[in-house]
Amino acid sequence: MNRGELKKESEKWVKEGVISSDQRNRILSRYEKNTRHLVLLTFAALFIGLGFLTFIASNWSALTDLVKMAIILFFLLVFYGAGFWFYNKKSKSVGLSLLIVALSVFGAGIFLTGQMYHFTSFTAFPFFIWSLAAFGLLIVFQESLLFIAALVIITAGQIYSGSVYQEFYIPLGILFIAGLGMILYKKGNRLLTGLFAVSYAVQSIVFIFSHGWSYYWLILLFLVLYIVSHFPYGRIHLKPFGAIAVFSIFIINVFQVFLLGYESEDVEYSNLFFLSWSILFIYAVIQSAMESTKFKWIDLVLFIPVFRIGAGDLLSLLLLFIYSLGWLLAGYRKERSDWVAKGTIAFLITTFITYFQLAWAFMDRSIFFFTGGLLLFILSFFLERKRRQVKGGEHI
Amino acid sequence: MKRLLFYTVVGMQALFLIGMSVSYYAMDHWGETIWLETEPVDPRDPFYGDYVTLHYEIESFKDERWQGEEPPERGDKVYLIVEEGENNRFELVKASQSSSKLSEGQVEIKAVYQWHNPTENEHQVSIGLNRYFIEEDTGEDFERTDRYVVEIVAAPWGQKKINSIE
Repeated sequence: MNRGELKKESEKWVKEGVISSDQRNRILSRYEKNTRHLVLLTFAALFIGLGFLTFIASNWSALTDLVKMAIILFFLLVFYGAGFWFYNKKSKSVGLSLLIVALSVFGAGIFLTGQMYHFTSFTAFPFFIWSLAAFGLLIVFQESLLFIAALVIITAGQIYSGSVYQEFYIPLGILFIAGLGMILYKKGNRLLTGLFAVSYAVQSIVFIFSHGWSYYWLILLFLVLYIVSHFPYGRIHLKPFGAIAVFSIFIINVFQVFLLGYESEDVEYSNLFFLSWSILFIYAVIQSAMESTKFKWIDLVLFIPVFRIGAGDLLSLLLLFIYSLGWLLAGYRKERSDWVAKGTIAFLITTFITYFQLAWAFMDRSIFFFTGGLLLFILSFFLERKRRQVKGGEHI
Repeated sequence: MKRLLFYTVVGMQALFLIGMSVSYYAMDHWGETIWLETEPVDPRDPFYGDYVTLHYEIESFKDERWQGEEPPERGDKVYLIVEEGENNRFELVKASQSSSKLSEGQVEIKAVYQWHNPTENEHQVSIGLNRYFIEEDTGEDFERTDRYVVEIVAAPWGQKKINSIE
């Protein structure tokens, strides 16, 4: 019980005559002292730590390599030790933050040691080692914060690998899918799932572009993400996968509107692409047909590849319109205000894109923006009115 | 159980850092020392911040030194075999994509492929020791010439370091 609860509770005890108000104060003071003690101790440790760090940073080049090494190891072990002790004995949150500091010391240690001893690296290997450490801690403590730490290190390492070496670093990818994915599948929450899916989308982009493949392979990777979110095993916390997958594919379609023209795109490994796409898509259709809500097929529209048949820009627009209108109509019919909201936003964005694409070249700029603004205004007025009706309908 | 696992995780991290440090010193014992000549650099401006940029002669070579069909892709691993030549300087014997057996007096160096210039029949690789860090504000004391001879230690496990530069 913390102090706040105790204060409330003990007031009743005094009223009921269980303890005297003097006794109550004495009990309360005990708790007060304890928490203050802890906070002070944390700050003391923090200040001393910061003092050391700034001292070392300003004298870093004057130190010999062995002394530097000893300092890094000392801080690594002290922060881990303190973190473990606090976590088990005093406060989980203080302990966790110390563990995160220790993990950062390890990361900094890898790069500092690498620089000290002129290590050369041609891959994101240092990031892999660092994320392994984070993953190890995650296994030990099973804390969301450590999951996020591992996720951030892996994603950063992959982006680094992609931008510096034009390479997708496979060990990081394996740790991400097999390691973090496994933990997420066993037990996770919506926040972690959402972050995992964002990282997946980012890594997909690195994967595709580092191989020099064209963007449309992303359609497959996002479709996989979408399918996983609907695995029929009652893994309800995997739902955010679907939202992120749809969001990503929506953006791809928006890009297609601007980038594709009347000519069809060349497809490398075209058989492979269309074969795997067909299998995944048919599976997704069957999956959505078996679900209790019969409207999931609307999402799938966005995953149809249109770059091959020509006029890809118009077809992408068509897909975006089907998607937005689909959710709007489904929302009205089932009186689901969240679907209506989703459809509304998608519809507004799509309308704006269409307008931009079709009218930008022909109209005078000022008229272009005036009319566009007016159009959106009228649209949002009608959509909002309709949405309120749905919301009202829900309450009645 | 949890405690033991935690100690293992932390211990591995400490060991990794110690290993990085130890392998550096172990190179002096097990590594082989070679001397490489650098390509001419502009003696007025070899300094960028606190390091010197170095390009070695063995890093660019003609087609006939390349063992293999097609030139590899940028970023691929290649193996350079060097041998002692005139005045202790080591020169490139051949370069290929796979490790090969060494004759007496030869040393193998791992490098990363950069690019191929078909018009001049030239390949460019990087052995990764292209930056030599010097203490800040000592750039002035550094002897400025257009060619350096760099003493490099190459360990059997592929690691290498610059020992000195003159």
